[in-house]
Order: sequence, then structure tokens, then C-alpha cells
Amino acid sequence: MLDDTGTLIQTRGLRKEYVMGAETVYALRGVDLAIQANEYIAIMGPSGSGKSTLMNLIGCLDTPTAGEYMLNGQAVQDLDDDELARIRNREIGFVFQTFNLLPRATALHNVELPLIYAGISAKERIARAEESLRIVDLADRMDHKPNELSGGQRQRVAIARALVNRPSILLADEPTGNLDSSTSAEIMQVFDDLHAQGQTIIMVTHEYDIATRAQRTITLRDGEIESRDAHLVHHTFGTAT
Amino acid sequence: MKFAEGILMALQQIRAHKLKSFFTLIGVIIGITFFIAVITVVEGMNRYVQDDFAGSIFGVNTFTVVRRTNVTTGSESEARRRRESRNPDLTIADAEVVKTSAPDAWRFAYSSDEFSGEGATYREKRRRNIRIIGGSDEYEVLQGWEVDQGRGLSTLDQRRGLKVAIIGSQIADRLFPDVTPLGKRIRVGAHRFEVVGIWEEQGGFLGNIRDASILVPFSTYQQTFSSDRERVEDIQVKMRSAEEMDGAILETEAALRSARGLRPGEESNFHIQTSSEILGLWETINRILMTALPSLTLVALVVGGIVIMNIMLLSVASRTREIGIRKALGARRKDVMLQFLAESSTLSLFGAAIGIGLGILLGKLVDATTALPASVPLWAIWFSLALGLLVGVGSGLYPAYKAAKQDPIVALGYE
Repeated sequence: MLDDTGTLIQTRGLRKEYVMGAETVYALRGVDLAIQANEYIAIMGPSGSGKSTLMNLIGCLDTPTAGEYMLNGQAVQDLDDDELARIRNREIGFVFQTFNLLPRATALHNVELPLIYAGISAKERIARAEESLRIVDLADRMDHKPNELSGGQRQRVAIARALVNRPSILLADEPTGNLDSSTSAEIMQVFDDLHAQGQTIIMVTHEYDIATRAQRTITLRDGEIESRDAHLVHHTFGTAT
Repeated sequence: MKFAEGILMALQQIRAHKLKSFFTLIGVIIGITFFIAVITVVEGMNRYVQDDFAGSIFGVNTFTVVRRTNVTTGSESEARRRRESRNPDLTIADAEVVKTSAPDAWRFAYSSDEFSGEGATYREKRRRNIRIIGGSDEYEVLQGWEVDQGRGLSTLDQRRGLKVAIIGSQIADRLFPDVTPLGKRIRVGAHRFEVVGIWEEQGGFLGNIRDASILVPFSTYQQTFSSDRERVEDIQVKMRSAEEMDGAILETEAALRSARGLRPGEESNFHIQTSSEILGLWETINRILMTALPSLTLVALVVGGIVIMNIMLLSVASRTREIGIRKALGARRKDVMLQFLAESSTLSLFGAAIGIGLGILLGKLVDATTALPASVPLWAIWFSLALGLLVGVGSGLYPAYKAAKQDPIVALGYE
């Protein structure tokens, strides 16, 4: 099988097809991918290249039409909805472009949510959510609701929420897409710090200067990985900075 | 704790949209209010009829011979009503027949009575709307009426036709607020009566039957109020036990029929009434209420459930993104399901609680205004809460299922 120690994600021949009326859309046409623990990866590609589809598959929000996907030693391609939900809860921390916080809940409660679905006791939930908010420097904003927070603060809450279950992967989808440039820099600094502390990060982005902060960039085009030599791509971008 | 989340969410919704919540829950509220109110009245009525009414009005193991049926159960035919209206008056002679036909009777009495709108006066004070009863020997004992002050009527009062009276507590309170009524002479119509006793207060629903009555010796009544000296309105017989009742009634009927020269097969031109007849009437009303109650409650609850279901469907639709977020964060189908079920159940239970409150209030209102002993039985409250829960779960199932089966990717992309 695919278990290499230190290999967090391994896909083989990952395909995703959507049937839309009479037409079949080939969103992914066989993706082979290996990501090690503590890597910082950027996934790039033009719209329609399949990067959202790949992110959904990596994030266990969807299952592939064909191919294998090993996540942290577990084959996830054939799991059902509830098993996928359990994997998402334990292994994946999502950070979205639009933050996706619950508008009526406080920052603390938003961060608590994954722990609720993990079945953790209220006392421990609050302690861990507070701890997580401290990591993103929001200890003093715990009781604020999203509409009482700035865009950057909201994204920090979302990051705190993504971290709270200590996931194997932090999966960020255009995390700075809705932020101005100085706030973006702040948020990217948070990601850098988390990576420095050993967190594996996969980030979908279309901005080159964001992608350059990653160790490695995977570029998708027409549902396939454009360059097999990811390190080469990394170097190309690296020199551009 | 996901359940707690749903309950919290529902309470938030109710607080944020008070008016909307009220309209959402109006079906459940009406259904439960109606249910509690009717149960309360029926239970109160039941208790009253069984404990007080039948015993105090007609007495236990008592039957009464009357000219015609005066309790209408609604089941008598018009023909019977018209036939009974031609029945001859009962007379003292009839009373004698009844007395000799029931030698085993424990108590025997006959009486006449009339309603007086003018009432009784003492000096400037007046109590209107009273009942004047002329009762024979044993009338009070047969009725089980006790005097609170003074004495009852004696054989001497009866024989001599003395103008003495025992008055009900309402009359005593009205005419004699400061002094004792005993020995005073009250005026009823053109006649004066010396008050020799006061009835013990009866109180309760219809309590004024005794409390607003005055009793005078039968012979006195005939001389002063009756236009026909031979006429008697009620002939009452009290047996020692319920077992003796049927036989005594049959014998009385036979004796009276033969005294009146009725042929076999001819209808009796009098009527024998028992307390079970009154209970029968109540049971009929009771049965009608208890048949109508479930269907009316059901209709209100079904309508209420449909409204809640619609509101929940709206809620699910407007919170698609939230469902997507929760699923992305690891909520399983049953977690989402449970959250929305908890929400609809909390809503519905809230409505049921309001309904129970309103029902109790309505019961108290009945209690205060009609003197009907109305109290909500505990089982009805539990039953109402169970109904509320049932409606909540029932109306939440489909919306919760719709929420639970949403695809997280689609839900997250939903704007």
C-alpha cells in the first residue's frame, strides 16, 4: 500500500467527473500527489483547472470518481458521508475565503464547534477554544460576534477554529481573497508561524506572491498537474521573489 | 450537547422573533389551551356532580315522583314532551298512595315550591330571587339539610301550619348583617314568618339552591302560597340502600298507576326521577365533550404542526450555508438532524407551555366566575407536554431530513 512514514497525503490516479445533462465534465483527469507532514503547499491554477475539485477531495468534502486517496494512513476514497464527516472533523482544518463563521455565535462558540462534533466535554471545549484563540491573538475578542470583528479578526477566528481539533492538515482556500493587502500580510504571517511550529498547510490561491511563501507549488491545468517536478516550480517562483 | 445547541438555537429564534414565533405557534397554543380548559371543566364538573350535586340535590338512594320530566337530556321525543304536559297534578292523595306503597322507605316527604322574584324583606332590607319551599315532615332530613343556628321544623309546626321559616345563609346574610335572625319576622309576599333556623351554608356551584331558599311547613305553604290546596309538586322517597331502589320504584309506579286507574299498556301519567337520571344527563354531556375534544385538539395540533413544519423548512433554506459550515467542521447527518429536531421540538413545547398556562388561566377564570371547582389535573399537563413534543418531532422530521442530506460543497457555495 501507500504508507510511507511521514507521508500525510498520497493520491493515485485521482479522477473526478461530473455528469451535467448529456455532457460529462472531467474536472480531474488522474492526479498523483504526495504530501509530507509539515509541508507548506500552494495549489495554483486558472479557474476551471480543477483546483477547487482537488481541494474538496483533499478536504474529504467529496469522493473521487476513481483513484485512491490515502490520508494519514487511511483510505478515504470509499467512505460514506458520516465517515467523511468524522475524518473532516479530526484531520482537516478548513479556512475559507469568506470566513464562513456562524453569524449569531460568538468567536468562542464558533471555535468550539468542531469540538462539539468531536464529542468533547463542555469544560474541555471551552479551555481548548480559548487556547486556540490565544494562538491567533484574539484572547480579548472571545465574546464578540463576527459582525463586531474586522475582516482580519474574522479570518483569525476561522484559523483558530481550524486549529482547535489539532488537525493533520490546515486546508485554506484563498484565505486572503477578501482582505486588503496589509491584513493579508498579517494573515499570511499567521500561516508562516503555524508552519514554523510544524503544521502541515495546503493553500489554494491564484496569487503568485502568496504562493511563493509556500515551500512547494502544485499547478493544475485542465484537471492535471502541470509540472511533475514540483520542486522545480518552487525554484522558479523562488527566484522570482 | 448538539441537542442543547438546537434548544439554544430555538430559544434564540423565539426571542429574536417574538411575534413571528407567536404566530408560528398559534395552532399548538390554541390546541393545548382548548384541551387543558375542557379537561379542567370536565374534571371539575365530574367531581362536582359526583360529590355534591347528585347527593345534595336529589340525595343518595332517593327517588322523586313528579308530574313530568324536568330534566331534559335532549333525547326525549316531542311527542313524549307533549303527552307529559297533559299529566294531571300530583295531589296529597297521590302522596298517601306512594307512602303506603313503599312501607320499607327510610324517609318519606312531599313538597311544593315556587320562585319569588320579589324575595323576602326585613325592615328596609330585601333579598330578591329566592325559592320558597313548603316541605312535609322529614323533608329536611331526607334532603340531608342541617341547620347551623336555631332549630328545624317540628311536627307541631307542620300540624298547626305555623308561620315559621328556616332561611338559607345568603338570605340571612343579606337581611340580617348585624343581628341574629332568630326570632325575627321576615316578610314574604303578603305574609310574615318567624325565623326559627338558618341552614348551614352549602356554597359551591349552584349553592344558592339551598342558600337562597326558605323552608316553611307544607301546610303553611298551602295556606299562604298555593292556589290549589291539594296540589303537591314532589313526592320523595329515600331508601336505606341502593339495592332497595329498583324494587321500591316498581312498586310505587304500580301503586300509583292502579290508584289512577291506568290500564296495562297505557303510559304512566307521572314520572319517577332518580339521581342516576341526573348523572345520566351529565354523562351524556361528558361523552359529547370527550368525543369532540380529541378531534378538535387534533385538528388544531395538525394545523399547528404544518405551520411549524413550514417555518422549519424556511429556516433550513435560509441556513443552508450554516448547514454547510457545520458539515465541513464534522457534523454528521444525525447531528444536523438532531439540531433541527431539537429546534422544532423546543418551539412546539414552548407553544404547549403557553397553551397550558392559558388553559390553567381559563380554568381559574371558570373557577372564579362560576364557582365550579375547576382544577387542572396533573396528567393533563404531562399529556399536553407529550403532545407538544410529538407535534414538534413530527413537524421537524421532514425539514431536519432535508437539512441533514445536504451536500456540504453545494451548501457552502450557497449564497
